[in-house]
Amino acid sequence: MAKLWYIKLIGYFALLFLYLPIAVVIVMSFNSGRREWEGFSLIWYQRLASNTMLADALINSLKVGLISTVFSTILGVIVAYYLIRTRVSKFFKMLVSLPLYIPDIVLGLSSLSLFVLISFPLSIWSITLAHITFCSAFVALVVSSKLALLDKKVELAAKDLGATDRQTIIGVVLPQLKGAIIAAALLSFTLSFDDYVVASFTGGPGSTTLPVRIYSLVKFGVTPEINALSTILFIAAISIALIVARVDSKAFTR
Amino acid sequence: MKKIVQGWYILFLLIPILLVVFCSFLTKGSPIDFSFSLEGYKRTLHYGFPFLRSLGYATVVSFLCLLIGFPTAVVIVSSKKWRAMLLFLVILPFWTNFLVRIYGWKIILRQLDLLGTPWAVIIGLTYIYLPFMILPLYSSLERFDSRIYFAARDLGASGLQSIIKVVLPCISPGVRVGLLFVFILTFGDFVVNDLLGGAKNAMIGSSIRDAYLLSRNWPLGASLTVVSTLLLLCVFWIGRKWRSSGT
Repeated sequence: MAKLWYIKLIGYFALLFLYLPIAVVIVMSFNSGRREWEGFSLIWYQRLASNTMLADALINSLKVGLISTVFSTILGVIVAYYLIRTRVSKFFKMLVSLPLYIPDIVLGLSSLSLFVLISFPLSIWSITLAHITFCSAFVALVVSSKLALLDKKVELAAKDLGATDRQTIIGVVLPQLKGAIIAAALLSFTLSFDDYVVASFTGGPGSTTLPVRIYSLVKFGVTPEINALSTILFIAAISIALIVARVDSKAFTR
Repeated sequence: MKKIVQGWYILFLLIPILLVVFCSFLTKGSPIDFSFSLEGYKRTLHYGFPFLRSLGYATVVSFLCLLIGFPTAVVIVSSKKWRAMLLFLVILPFWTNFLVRIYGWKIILRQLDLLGTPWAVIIGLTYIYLPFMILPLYSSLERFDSRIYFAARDLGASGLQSIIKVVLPCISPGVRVGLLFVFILTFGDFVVNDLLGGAKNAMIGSSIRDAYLLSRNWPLGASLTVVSTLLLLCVFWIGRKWRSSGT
C-alpha cells in the first residue's frame, strides 16, 4: 500500500503538518517584530525573563503538576494493583476508567459543581484535586497493562519464602513496575501541566495556571513572549522525552 | 484501602457528575436555587445552531482525520527501519501544549486570511485530533496481513478499491475507535473554535462554558451538557444500526 503515490504523498505531508505550527512558533520567537518577520533578535526572550505574570503562572502550573503527579501516581498504582491482582466489582472498574471516556469539559464543570456546593475555595488546591482524579485513571491504565504481563508466580514464590503481602508488594511487585510507573508519572505530569479545560473551570483568582494564562494571551492579543516561552518548553519536553526514551524505550509506544 | 480508593472516585467523580444531572432540573439562582424547574431544558431549544455546528464539525473532522490518518499510519507501519522513529514523531507534539500549537496556527491562518472562518476551525480541529486517529489505525494495521491487500490487487482491484473494499473493513475496529475518539473530542471542544473561529459561531462546548462561567446559569449549562451526552449516544446508536444493516 505504501507504494501508492497518493498514500505516500498524504502520509508524509501529514507528518510535516504535525510540526508546521510548532516550527512557526519557534521561528517567530527569534523575530524582532511583532507580527511580520523583521529580522533575528532575542528580544522576546529578554522580555520573557522580566514577565512576572507568566513566571507566576509557570510556578502555579509546576506546583499543581508536581503535587498531582505524586498523588495520582500513588492512587493510580493502587488502582492498577486492585484491577489486576484482586477481584473487583464491575462498578469499581467502571468508576476508575470513567475519566478516560468523559470529555474534559464535563470533568471540569462537574468538579466545579462539587467544589461550589461544598464551599471548597477555588484555588490551586481545587485544580490539584480534579487533576489527581483524572490523571490517576491514565496512570492506572499504563501501570495495569504492564502489571498484567508480569508473571504472578514470582509473587507466589516470594510469599512461599515467607514474605508478607506488604513485603511482596514493596520488594517484588513495585521494582518490576519501575519503568511503567516512571512513564505513567510523566504522562500524569504532562496531562496536568497541559490542562487548560479543567483548570479553567476549577481555578479561581490567583490560581491562574500557565495554560489558562496562555489562553487569555492568545485570545486577546499578540504576545510574542509566548513564542519564546513555547520554544523553551518544547526543547525541555523533547529533552525529557529523549531521556525517558533511554530509560524505558517502551514508554512512548503505550 | 479499597474502600478509600473507591470513596475517592465516588466523591470526586461520580457525585459531581450526578450533581450536574441534578442541577439541570433546578432553578437559576446564585448559582442555583433548590427548586424544581425545566427552564434549563426549555432554553436548550435556542441552542440549535451550536448543536448543529458541533455535530457538523465533528462529522467533517472525523472523516478528514480518517482520510489523512490512514495514509500516515500506512507509511509508519510499512517503514521497517524508521517505524519507532516515525511513531515517536506522531507522539512528540503531544508534549507541547496544545494552546501553543493552536497559536502557531493562528499565525499561519492570519497570513492566509482564513482566521475567523469555519475553514480555520476545521483545520485546527483536524490538526489537534489527528494523532487520536493515527494511533488506533496504526495498532490495527500492525496486525493486518498485507498479503490480503496484494491478493485483492492480484485479482484486479485498483489500489483505491482494495483499500476501501478490503483493507478498511479488515481493520474496522481501529477505524471505529479512531472515529469515536475524534468525534467525541471534536464535539466537546471549545478552545479551537474560540481561538481560531469567529466569536459569533459558538460550538456547543463554548455555550456550556459561557453558561457556567460567564452568565452563571448553571441549570442551562447542565441541561446543555445532559442533552449533548444524549445526542452523542444517539449518534453512536445510529452509527451502530447503520453499520449492522450495511454488512
